[in-house]
Amino acid sequence: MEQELQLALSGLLAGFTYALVAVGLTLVFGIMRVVNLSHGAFFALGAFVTYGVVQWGGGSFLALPVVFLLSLLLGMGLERWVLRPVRRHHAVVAIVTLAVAIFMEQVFQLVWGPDYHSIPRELPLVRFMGTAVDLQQIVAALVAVALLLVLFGLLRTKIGMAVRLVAQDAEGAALVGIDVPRVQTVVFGVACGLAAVAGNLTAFAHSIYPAMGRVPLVMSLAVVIFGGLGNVHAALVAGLILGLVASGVSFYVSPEWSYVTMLLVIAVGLLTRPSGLLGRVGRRD
Amino acid sequence: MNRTAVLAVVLVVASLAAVPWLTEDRFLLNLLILANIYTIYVLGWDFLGGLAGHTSGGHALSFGGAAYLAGLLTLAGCPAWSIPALALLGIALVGAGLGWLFRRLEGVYLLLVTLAVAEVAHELVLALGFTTPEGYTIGGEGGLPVAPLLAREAERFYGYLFWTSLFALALTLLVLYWIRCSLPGLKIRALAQDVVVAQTVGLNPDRFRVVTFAAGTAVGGLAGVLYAQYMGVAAPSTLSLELSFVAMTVSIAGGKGTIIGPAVLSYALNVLLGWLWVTPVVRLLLYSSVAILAARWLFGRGREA
Amino acid sequence: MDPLLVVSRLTKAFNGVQLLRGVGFHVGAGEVLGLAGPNGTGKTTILNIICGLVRPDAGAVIFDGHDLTELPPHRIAGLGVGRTFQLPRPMRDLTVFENVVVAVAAGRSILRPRDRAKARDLLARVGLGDQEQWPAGRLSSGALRRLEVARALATCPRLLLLDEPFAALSIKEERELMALLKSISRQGVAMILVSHRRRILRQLAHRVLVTTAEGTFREGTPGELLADRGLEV
Repeated sequence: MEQELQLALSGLLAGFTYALVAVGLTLVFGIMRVVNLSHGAFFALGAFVTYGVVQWGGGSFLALPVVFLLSLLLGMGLERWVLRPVRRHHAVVAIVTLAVAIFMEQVFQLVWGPDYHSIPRELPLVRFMGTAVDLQQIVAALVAVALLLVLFGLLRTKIGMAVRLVAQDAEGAALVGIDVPRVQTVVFGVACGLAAVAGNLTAFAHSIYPAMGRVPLVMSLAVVIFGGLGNVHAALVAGLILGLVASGVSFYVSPEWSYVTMLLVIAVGLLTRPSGLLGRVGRRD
Repeated sequence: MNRTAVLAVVLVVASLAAVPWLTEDRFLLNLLILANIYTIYVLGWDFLGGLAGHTSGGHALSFGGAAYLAGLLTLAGCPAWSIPALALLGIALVGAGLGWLFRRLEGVYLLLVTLAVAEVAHELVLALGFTTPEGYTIGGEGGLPVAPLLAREAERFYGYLFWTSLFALALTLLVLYWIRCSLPGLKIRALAQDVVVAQTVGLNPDRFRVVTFAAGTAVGGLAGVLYAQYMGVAAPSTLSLELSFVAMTVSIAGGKGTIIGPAVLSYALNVLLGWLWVTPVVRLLLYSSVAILAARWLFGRGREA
Repeated sequence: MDPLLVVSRLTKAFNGVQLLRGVGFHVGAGEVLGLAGPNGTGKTTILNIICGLVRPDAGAVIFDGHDLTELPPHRIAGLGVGRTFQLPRPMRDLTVFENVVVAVAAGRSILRPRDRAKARDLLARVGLGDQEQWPAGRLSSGALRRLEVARALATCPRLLLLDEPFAALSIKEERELMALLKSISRQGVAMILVSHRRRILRQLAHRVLVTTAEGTFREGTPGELLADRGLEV
């Protein structure tokens, strides 16, 4: 029972970071109908920049704001200069974002080499009531939850309404005076920032290597599809569920198989319900 | 049918065929063999994604899938002479099956789902492996050995592989180009343009979906089988996402669906980049930047490609 | 003689809106049925159901003994149903010639000289003979509509579904198309012609069916229905 609890806890905690990545991807899809295949590469960027900061002498928590700002700006620049000219052609955007992902992976390899890196944990594992409790994982999950709360809170404000309006009806939003391109650029940047933060928060827990963004990308694609393309609340729920599933499969079978399971979820999900299990195409937050 | 283009291709192929007689330089032969193989691979995508308009994000599955089928057949003890044909047939059937399974998907959705399938295959071959009692690892990072038709140590190995791959390339090029210029090619292009209108004039989209998937996969598989023969092994890198990406990029940059264009571009890139000893990392940097720039140029605001 | 097309009890709702309530009519060989009514009352939907692009919630479409509601669109086209679209849908990257010849040779594997000749002839009849090698995307909107007609005729249809073919045509183009459609009708092809224009309907249609916003319909001769100024057409 202990083991199951620990697994469940671990899965739930992981789920919050998946949710962070997935919510970003969902937002971008909701606002711009764009599947951003470079999303995972930003996750990797977060981890690598964290590694860089740690090498330089700072802590991984110190790296967090650096990571967020850098990715925000990079993401905004990417949207403005690379994606906006081609945004109407959805398949082309997907290919272009894939190109960006591969480009970034090669840059990581050039700067930090192809080998695996790791950073030390800053908070210890403690024994609490007979189970091992990972303090750093809890803090990471709390930060993720805090960020998600801030995000959902912002969506309820006036700014948030503008964003939701653009998601529902971009043309209508433009007609009432909302600067639609600016909203899209900022949202895209924020999504990239969130993915990078997730990379920063989990950097202590696994190896850092150039192609490390593939798995989070696939995970978040699975979440987005499972939860309903564009539905942010569903992405949150789906992220938690998939976090549990991934944790379970990873433990009971093997880590590689949890990745495979996620991929199969995507394939099956797209075949049966392109609009996702919970939502219908067109329903957004 | 652009007769000058066809004539040019025939002439180039004929002159290339003379190379093994003129030189024994292993480096050059290796370069050209790989150029032949990778160009066949790209042509598979150009047919499926370029001509027929079914953007596949997992073309590496046809390449690596065929290579791994050859490896599995080797493990199963099949006679070496039968392996290439069986592997090719097998991967073509897989392609047809996927075409049928995904017949209702288009555009981004098709791209994602094919990408996912190829990634599943990639992860599976990395994860599945075992060690024999003698201590050999089969599967996993090392891949599967493939029984060669001609031993690597044989004197004429490089020449034989060069001519086989060159012949395969010439055949693929001519057959695909001929299809493109024929009535079936016109129907494929019509379905790619507007599947609804094409149906109202009597074209069956599902049947064409299955056939074009089978054909595109078979062409990619032909490259994969040749590669497996050449390398003697089916490695996980034959199923990589980067490989799928390269197929898309080179085809689109060379003139999606024109067959001849992507073939020329692919050959030129492979020869040039190989000659200059350009590393895979720099190659991918190049391809990805080209993809981004080409997208802006071809599809940028205000222009319809 | 049995009518070529019998439509009965056609019912269809979209997004909760009941568009068609038990629509029924028939068309015989050589007959032209006009289809009129305000926008959004289901005229294009009726055409879409007949050619197989949309499945009705209820009802039957019997064409020459076959129930079309059970068949996929390409089979329906093969049985002899041709159609044009309200907003022309050319295959833009194909040439004008290719747009038509692919329809002519839809059932074959090799292009015969006879097919090319037929495509050329059809293009000449709609006045596009000089633009054969143009990419279809280059044509003007009037020319695109004429291309739609040529493409629909290419499959040798026995039933032609025309969705507002006269929109955006000049007086001359209109006259030529009218003459073409009349001659096709005389050859025994049945037609359903969607149009808002009373003059066109009066000149071409033998009978007219007018759809209403409630999903019902009225049927009669052009003289009867179109004289009723209160009827929205």
